[in-house]
Amino acid sequence: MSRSIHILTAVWGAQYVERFLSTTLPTVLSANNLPALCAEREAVYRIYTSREDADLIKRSPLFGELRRHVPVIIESPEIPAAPEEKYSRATNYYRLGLRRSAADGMATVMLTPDAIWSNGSLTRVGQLADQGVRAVLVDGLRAEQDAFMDTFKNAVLPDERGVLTVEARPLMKMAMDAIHPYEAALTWGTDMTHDVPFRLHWPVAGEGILSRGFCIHPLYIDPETEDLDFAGAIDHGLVNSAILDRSKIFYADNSDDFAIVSIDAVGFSGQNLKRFGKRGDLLNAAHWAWASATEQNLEALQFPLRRHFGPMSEAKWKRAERLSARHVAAILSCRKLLVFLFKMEAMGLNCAAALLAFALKAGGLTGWLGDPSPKTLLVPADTAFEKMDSSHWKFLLSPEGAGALRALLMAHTVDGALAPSAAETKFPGIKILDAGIEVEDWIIHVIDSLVQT
Amino acid sequence: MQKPGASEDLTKAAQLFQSGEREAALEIVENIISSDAGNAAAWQTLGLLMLRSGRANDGIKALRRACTLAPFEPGNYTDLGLAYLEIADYPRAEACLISAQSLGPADANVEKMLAHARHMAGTGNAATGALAKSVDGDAEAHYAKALEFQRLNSVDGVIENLRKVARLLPAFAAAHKSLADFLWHSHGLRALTGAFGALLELKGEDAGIADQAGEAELHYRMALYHDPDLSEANAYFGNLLRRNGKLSEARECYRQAAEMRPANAVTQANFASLLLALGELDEAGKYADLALKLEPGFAEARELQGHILLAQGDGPAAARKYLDTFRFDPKVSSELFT
Repeated sequence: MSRSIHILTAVWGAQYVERFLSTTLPTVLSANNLPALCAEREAVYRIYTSREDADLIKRSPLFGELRRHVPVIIESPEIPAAPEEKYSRATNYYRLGLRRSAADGMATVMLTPDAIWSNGSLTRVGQLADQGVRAVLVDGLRAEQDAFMDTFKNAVLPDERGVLTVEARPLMKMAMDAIHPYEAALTWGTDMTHDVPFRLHWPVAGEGILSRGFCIHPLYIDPETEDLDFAGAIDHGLVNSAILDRSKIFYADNSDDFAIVSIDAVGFSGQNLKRFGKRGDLLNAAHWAWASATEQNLEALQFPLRRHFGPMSEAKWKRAERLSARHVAAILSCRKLLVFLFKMEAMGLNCAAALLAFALKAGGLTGWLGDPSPKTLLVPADTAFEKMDSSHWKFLLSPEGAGALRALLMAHTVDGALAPSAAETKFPGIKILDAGIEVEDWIIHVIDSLVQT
Repeated sequence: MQKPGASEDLTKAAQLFQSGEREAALEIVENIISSDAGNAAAWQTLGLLMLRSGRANDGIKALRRACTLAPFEPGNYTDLGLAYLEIADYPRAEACLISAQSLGPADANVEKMLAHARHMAGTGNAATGALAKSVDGDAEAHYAKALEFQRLNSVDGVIENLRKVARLLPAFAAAHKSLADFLWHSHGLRALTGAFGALLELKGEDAGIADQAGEAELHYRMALYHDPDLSEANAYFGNLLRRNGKLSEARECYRQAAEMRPANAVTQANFASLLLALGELDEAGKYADLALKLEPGFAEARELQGHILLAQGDGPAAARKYLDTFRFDPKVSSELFT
């Protein structure tokens, strides 16, 4: 028996309702999307909107078409929304809908109102649900509205009911031809980046982009628990709070399954775009992750998504995957170093903290650890640095000293967990002053002198 | 909207001036301005009184201010054009009189002055001439349309309409500045999407990009040519010049912007980062410190301090600054040079 499904959309405001009715709903209604999904299972479609927008939706010819496939409920509940939280209204609607799903014993499909969905996306959701998957996470690609719509309107014509059917590869091609500057900025190899690196892309010439993202949208969720305790928007914590068995979480890995495009005007907010340089891009992402990423965000970054508009040359995509994996490792290890850095400072290890900050900002050592796997850091106390010749200290903290600094840091880093006694044996002459301070899955031992390089 | 009574006071000031009481007349007008700096009519009167008192440069400054405050008032441009004619600055006079002509009903006097300005300017004023090509239309309506397109998030719509405003009103400095801002912004975004297309081998180079950058530069120059006091134009133009490798000219723009906007942390930081690039480390440090004093949470300024200290050979102090930098998020400002 297929899992019954509660489909949710939260949409309000003339601009978004118009977009929902003109692009989202017509593509959702393509044969292998909502009609196929609802033909095989019990389903209900609930739209949360404002009272005035509800009338607009009901008057749309597509509303009748929607109701041919699934019972539709339009509700306008009073929703508290914190003005300082941009996504709080949508999140609160989703929370309400998820509670309703739980009460009715249904899984939930959360359809965003401003995306264009490739034909087959929702069929794939149904297949995955039938295979026992409890969460399907997908990521959209933003295209520049005018340029995209110019092509889309000519290439994808509505049928007599107003339904738009677009297959994944042509949709990806149209989106990449009209890429939004924000997405271009998040692509490795362009000379700018967004100061909020919500997703990152690696180009695959002639074929598409490999993407990884912090904030991936849960399209489908069938929680293991009714007690959904998560903070922020649904792409920050919902899935990890709802699904404990991670093997039941499916991250979309190929745009043939899910090609999703959101459209947006170019706009005027170029202030979010910065030039950090390549190494700086990684550090910027690490800094954002340190300050803002949830556990779910960090996990999401591990899953590459191939967005392509034609056949894939496996060797090219593997190459992009390897490069992206190296960058992700650098981002995650630098994020952890930032956690460490402030922990060290809080412990009064000011010299070591400053040295590490220098290495990250000016020493060109963004990827020096290679990976974020568990490590032990031997951190010299400030008194250890006082013993150092001041000219050597200055040399380490100079552009010319980058190599020596790297060697010094590596000499104080050990892969895996190293017990204090083992550390003293491995590094004769050092004395452990404070042992076993855990920071996430890394360990700090404070030592009385520097390890000789 | 003028404050009540201001209009009568201005009339009284003009009468006093006619009767030879120049100081009293100027005092009345200056009092109006000190209580209402946005009173365009007062600035216009002040400008005219100063011109008639033989203070041409001060008069021109005041008339420029009147034009900025009431950009669709033809009389302001006529007066400013006349002032430029008096000091034999024919290219600027021409631009002002074209602006007056675009806005007002046919005026034989303006036409005569414009013909004179053109004759005296000869063909030397190519930039103004190119911009002053005859364009049919209502400048104020195009300006309103530009604002509407801005509300609709359409950069192209804004640019298209501001181009028309700038052609109709070549002496409208703020319109040149806004047009340059949007062109430069659009140029940056198009360069980005162009780079994306090139990486994916999707499309050829966008031929219009270089033109857009050149057009932005021209309009910044026009903005500052007609109103050197536009501090934000100096700040943004400095960014453009720096990006295009014109460092010494950028330095001058930044210097002026920093002077005109002493409380603007981004402006001070931009100047500091250019001075660092030019190797003027002590000066750079001074402006970076000022930026941070103005805005203690300014991450980029803190990092800049680190870079300056490092360039000065003080790595340990730089390291402490870098550590501080991590505490703050990057600053969100289109004015920030990055």
